[in-house]
Amino acid sequence: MNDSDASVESTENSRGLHEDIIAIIGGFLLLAICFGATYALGDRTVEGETVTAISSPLKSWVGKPGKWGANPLESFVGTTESPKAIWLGIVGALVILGVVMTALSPLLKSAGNPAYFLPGFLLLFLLATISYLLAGQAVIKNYNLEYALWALIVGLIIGNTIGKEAFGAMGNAAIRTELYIKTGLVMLGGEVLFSKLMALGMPGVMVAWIVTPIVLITTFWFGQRILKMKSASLNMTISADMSVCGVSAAIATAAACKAKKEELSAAIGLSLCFTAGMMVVMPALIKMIGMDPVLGGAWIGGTIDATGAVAVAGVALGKEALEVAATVKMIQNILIGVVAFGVAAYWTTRNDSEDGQTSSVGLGEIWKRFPKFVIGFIIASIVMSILYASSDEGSMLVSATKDVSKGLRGWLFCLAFVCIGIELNFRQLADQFQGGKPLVLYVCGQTLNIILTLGMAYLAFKVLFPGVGDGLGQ
Amino acid sequence: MAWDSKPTGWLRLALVVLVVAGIWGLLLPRLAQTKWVREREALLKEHRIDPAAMFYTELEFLDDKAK
Repeated sequence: MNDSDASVESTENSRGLHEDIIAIIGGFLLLAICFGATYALGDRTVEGETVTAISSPLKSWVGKPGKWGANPLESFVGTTESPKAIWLGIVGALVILGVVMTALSPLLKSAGNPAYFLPGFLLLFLLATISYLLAGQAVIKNYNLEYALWALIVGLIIGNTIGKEAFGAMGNAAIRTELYIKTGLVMLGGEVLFSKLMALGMPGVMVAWIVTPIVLITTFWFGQRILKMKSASLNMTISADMSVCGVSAAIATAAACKAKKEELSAAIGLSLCFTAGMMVVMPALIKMIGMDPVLGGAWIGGTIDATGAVAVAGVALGKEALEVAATVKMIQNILIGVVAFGVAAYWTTRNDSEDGQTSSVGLGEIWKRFPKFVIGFIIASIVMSILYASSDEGSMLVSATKDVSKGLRGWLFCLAFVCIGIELNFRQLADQFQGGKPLVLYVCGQTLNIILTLGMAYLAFKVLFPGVGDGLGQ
Repeated sequence: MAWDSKPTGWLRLALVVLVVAGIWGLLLPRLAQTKWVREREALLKEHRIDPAAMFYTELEFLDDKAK
């Protein structure tokens, strides 16, 4: 994403590294910490001579505020019936991320002074904690209103009342949207395991990996050629979050096509609004027409954007539908790496001029433009996939590593959205929706998605591979 | 950027915080006690579903099953 704000307390470091490279170093370092701790100090359950389970020693040291209903303190200490020291995990995440990010900040091209970075990071972390707290309220959580939305809103409130300048030197040093989002994406790469691709066999691949790219490309084409959207990056970000998997796909795609912060925010807002509606309407419609739960689950998994919302809609149809829906969505989640790489490659080779004409771009220029963090994402994914597939112990190690790394990745995304909110104003955000084209794009794209996914799900689960998915969840 | 170095910026922030505290501290906790929300919560808990999951690794039941 574009991040052009010059900062006073960050000095230009001619020998410094680009944010993408720092993100790769940071992401790999954090993954190495999670994996190393699990490998060296992990608690192994042994039955006979076989290791049957591994858990990371960092698991209780990395967490986020939990769910709460009436008392927000439950977020930090659990309920009276089941008390939990959740706050320990929050402090642990703060220490790990604070140390790593502060240590990396002077290496950036626009080097951050650690003396300012650390207190600024602490303030941002406090705002991120408040965002998680708002997102954790039971009613809010039930509607899939993810922490990204609340982090954005918390940031917007701060940015549009006291302003970024209220943070002074600390803000200039620590508000690093790009760094947090790209480091989080490299870590997300470690969660993209290709062995999960065949979890439902060919039908799952057909619904998640054939329909999705068709919808993505068609929607983008529609936005460019028919709607003639002003911003191709906004078009791409909306097309990806609508066709792939909501917020996570929007984050990855926006970073890959260097979308503006307000474009990512608009795409996520659209996606979350429609998701909240679709997760209620789709299961009701499926029940009303008496559709088979396996088919209904596949349809839900392929169309509803957000992973959590897919599970909520799936369970409304029963366990079988839940299993199919969530597994289809999981397979679609794996596509995120391919999409990020494809979008980055396409964006570096396209060269649109003002009048929409394109010209060819040289190899050197392609490499210069290519967002390098995507390479870190892919490498993390390949390494973890190989380790996962190497042996039973390898898969247990990777799973235990993910249990911790996903927590740190979540905090990084949350920090990034707080930063985005602080640097945005309401007018910039409202401008994205002017003329209603993003809304039309989303609605048309989602309509195509709903029709094609239903057709493909029927073909895959009922015509070509009948019986697949039956009995799941029993 | 709508920065305001004057106390009005902080005043506006305080007002927004008050509104947020009212909604999250009074309104939503009341809604959370309703039968519909409680039943829904119980169902999600039974199936170990995090409705706000952003990625499949955040869905406990799916991730455990895949291990």
